[in-house]
Amino acid sequence: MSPKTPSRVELLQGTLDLLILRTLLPGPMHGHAIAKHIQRTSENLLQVETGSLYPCAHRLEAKGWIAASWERSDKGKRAKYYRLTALGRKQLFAEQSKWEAFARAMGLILDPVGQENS
Amino acid sequence: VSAFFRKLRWLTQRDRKEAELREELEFHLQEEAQQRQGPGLTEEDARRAARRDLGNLALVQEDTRATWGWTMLEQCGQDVHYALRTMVANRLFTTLVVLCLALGIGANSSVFTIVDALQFKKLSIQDPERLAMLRFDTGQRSQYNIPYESFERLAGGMAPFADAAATFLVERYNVVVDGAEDRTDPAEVRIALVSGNYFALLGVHALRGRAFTPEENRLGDPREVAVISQGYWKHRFGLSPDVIGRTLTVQNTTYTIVGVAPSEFRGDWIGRPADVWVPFAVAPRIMAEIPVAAGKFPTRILARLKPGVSLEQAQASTDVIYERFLTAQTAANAVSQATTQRLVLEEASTGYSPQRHTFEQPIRILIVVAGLVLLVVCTNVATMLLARSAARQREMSVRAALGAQPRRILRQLLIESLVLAAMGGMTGVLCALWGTAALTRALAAGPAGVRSDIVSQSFMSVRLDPQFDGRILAVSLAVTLVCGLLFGLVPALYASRRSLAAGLGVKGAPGAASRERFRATAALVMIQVALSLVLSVSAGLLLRSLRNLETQEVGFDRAHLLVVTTAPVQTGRIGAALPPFYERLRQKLAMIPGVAAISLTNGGILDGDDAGAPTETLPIAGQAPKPGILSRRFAVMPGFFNTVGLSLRAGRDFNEHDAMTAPKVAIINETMARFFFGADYPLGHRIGDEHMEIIGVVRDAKYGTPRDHRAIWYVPFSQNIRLMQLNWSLAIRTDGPPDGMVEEVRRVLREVDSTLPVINVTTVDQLLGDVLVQERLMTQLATWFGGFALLLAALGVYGVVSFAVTCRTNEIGIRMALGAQRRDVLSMVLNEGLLLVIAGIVIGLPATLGATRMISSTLFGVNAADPLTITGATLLMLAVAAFAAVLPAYRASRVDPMVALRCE
Repeated sequence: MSPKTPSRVELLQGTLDLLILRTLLPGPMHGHAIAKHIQRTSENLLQVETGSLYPCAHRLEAKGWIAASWERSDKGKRAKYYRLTALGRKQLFAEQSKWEAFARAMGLILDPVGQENS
Repeated sequence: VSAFFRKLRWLTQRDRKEAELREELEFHLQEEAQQRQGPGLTEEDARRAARRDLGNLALVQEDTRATWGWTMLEQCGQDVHYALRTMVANRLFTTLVVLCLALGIGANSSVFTIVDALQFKKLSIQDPERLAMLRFDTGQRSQYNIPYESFERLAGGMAPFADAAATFLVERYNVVVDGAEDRTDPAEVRIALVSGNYFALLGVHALRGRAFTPEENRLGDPREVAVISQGYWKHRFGLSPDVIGRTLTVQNTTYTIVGVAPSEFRGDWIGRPADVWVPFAVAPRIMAEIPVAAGKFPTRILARLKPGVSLEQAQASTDVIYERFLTAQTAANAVSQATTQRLVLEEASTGYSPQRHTFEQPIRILIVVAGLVLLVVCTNVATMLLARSAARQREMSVRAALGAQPRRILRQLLIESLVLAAMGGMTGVLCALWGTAALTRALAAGPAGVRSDIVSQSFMSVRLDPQFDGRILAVSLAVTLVCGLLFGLVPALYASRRSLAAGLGVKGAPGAASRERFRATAALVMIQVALSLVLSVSAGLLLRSLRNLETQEVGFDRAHLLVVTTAPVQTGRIGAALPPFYERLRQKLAMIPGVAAISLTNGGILDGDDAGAPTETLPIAGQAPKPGILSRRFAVMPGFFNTVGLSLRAGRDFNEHDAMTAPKVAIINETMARFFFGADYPLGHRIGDEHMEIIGVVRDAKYGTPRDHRAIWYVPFSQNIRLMQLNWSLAIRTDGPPDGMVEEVRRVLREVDSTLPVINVTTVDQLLGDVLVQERLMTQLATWFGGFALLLAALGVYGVVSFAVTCRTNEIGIRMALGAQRRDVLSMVLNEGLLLVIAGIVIGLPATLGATRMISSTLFGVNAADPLTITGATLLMLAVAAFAAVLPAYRASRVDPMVALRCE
């Protein structure tokens, strides 16, 4: 059996888009790898449900932010690889700065002293 | 736009997309399984774990598909497909529902088509919104007839109008085609007399040939030309292409056909379509019954507003013009009464139609009945769907268990209802085609005499030309949609809310859910009972009213009277030529064996015309004007009262001494005597402008209609020769039954003058039937639909009681095991069913009283709240419901306790 995740964080609405876009920034990846990457990088705090990953990936593809192509995987199997498009890159930076502003604002409100000290 | 094309492209590659999605998810599973495969985990276990981790595969696919777009549409497509399959599987249910809906929707579409054709449809002319009509308004009465002379003078100074045209419609008989005597059309032909600019003003272009020119319409020197309708071209000339230049002969004047009007244009009078148009200036030849100079002929005036001028602005200018016109008029011949009336402009985009007023009540009844029937149908279908949703509970639970959301189930059920409604709607439109044709035919029927009488003000029949166009389809579609939602929503809401466990649980265990559903069904059945009570009582009242009208004492002898309606003036005889013609006719007819007496009046007997002048306009010497009822004057020959069976109450009949030069005399009816003189002795008083002496009082007769209660006064033809130019009602008293003599009378009439139009030869009973034809139609429709509603309510009661019995089989079994008798079970079930019906009746009674008040003005001799009818309908309702409840109740009483309990 897989090890128990210590505690999971519910994904905020709309953040999965940003996570997928960011994950694809270094290079093309297939769906499973995306999920694993997010899980690993977040130290298992974020678990991406397959039930939302694929619909989300297809939605991003429909918007033209990511593109898909069928390639051979490391093990030689056919897999669908997603990569960031120019449009997606622009979107990623816009979303990212928006998110950072939001996170800063949340931080200011939740912990005003700590923010001042830093 | 690009998103749309992307979606479109994806739609075309849908199958490939599906396969790719499957492959992608499969790859995911393999990858996951591989990573999990480690110590102590077989490949199979790993795979299963991966699968579990992925969750509901179908749901993932569904959700992913949703991002492709089109899913909504696709799912709806699937739902429609599924609905159709379900419907085929339940053929009986489907057929029943579709038929009910077809009837309900068909009835409403037909009624709407008729209402549209009579009330709302715009004339097929250029810019109908710019067309206006002129009428005189005295405050109480409207009058569209304006002397042609006034029209010409008004038209000259009509600044706000681009143009004005005059028209007048008459019916003529014996129109000769191509001058060949053997090609005489004995039927009525509606001839519209129009000013030369009529077609140009309306913007109607001839289909063939040309329309009139103003030069063809010079008073005193008209051209004998005619434009015919497309219908008449087809009917009389078989659409022959050489119709232009051929001729029509009307009353000895031959008109050359110069044009054919387009098929969609039948004149500006809705309900009385024109067959032939001729220049107005020929009026003295066509309307010989009006003994005046051409300029004094009545016309109706149509005007086209100048561009940019509103109706209000035009009215203001018209007021000024009319003021000026009146001043000139008064200076010339001091007309004083004209100053009390206004010349009013009204919008005429939908044409002219006094029938709109005559048919107001019948059409309101039609609308209400059709609407009620649709409501009954909808509640009935909702009941059936509810019952069926009980049977489909398992199916719904399985769907829910497989991950279908309540919204999805709701949508699927609604789509099923809409598909049912759509099929009902389509069948309904077919029914409506038939229903509209039948209604149109029925509405065109009516008394024959009045149609050809130009002084008549009543229009008991209406000839419509309803077209089934896009708007009517749209309305049918809207009705269908509303129906689908109406009857589908409640059952669908119930079904989609079902909890999983209840449906998948043990069969036959009635939970709270089915009790709730039972309550909803019971409520629907109560509504059905209430609605059908409204319809039954209305139908009952109309039936009683019709019976009263039919058996009403009309005053005329029903058993021994034959009435001939004819228009001798159309043979070209006028004035002094008419009395000898009557004498010749009388002598010839008297020779027919079985004829006892013959007399004449110009008042149409039971011809549907019950118009008259207000009593205050009738001068009585030594009395102030007394308003209250209507009065009408008819001329008769001596012996008329004896011939038709009316007895004199006082004084004497007219006789040969009442000649032209003798003192003017009159006979009044009892109503008039009572109204003006009360207890006084009426004989010797003087009446009318000519101070006629009242020499007799005659019994009341129902003259125009069985509802007639006018003050009628009679004058002798001998002192009023001009009145012989109006239509004749020849009264022939027979020794035996009159029916058999119709042919013989017709033969004699033909023999005396073959050009004499014979409008009708018939009995009093037949006349009464003709005059009541619309009331009979309304009554029949109300009765049929009332019966239909009753049947549906009975079905509903049957359904709900059966449902209750099924739900309670266990309970009944236990009761019987504990010693309940069959009789007890029977009466228990029956009582509960009847309780429902009684509740429905209690709801229905106030609604009934409200509905019948709406038809109270049509009722005759029966009160809108007639206790007898209401009691009767209620008892009928109870009896039918009891019958419907007995079957399932009997089944309940046959329940075998052992079997019932073993089910558990």
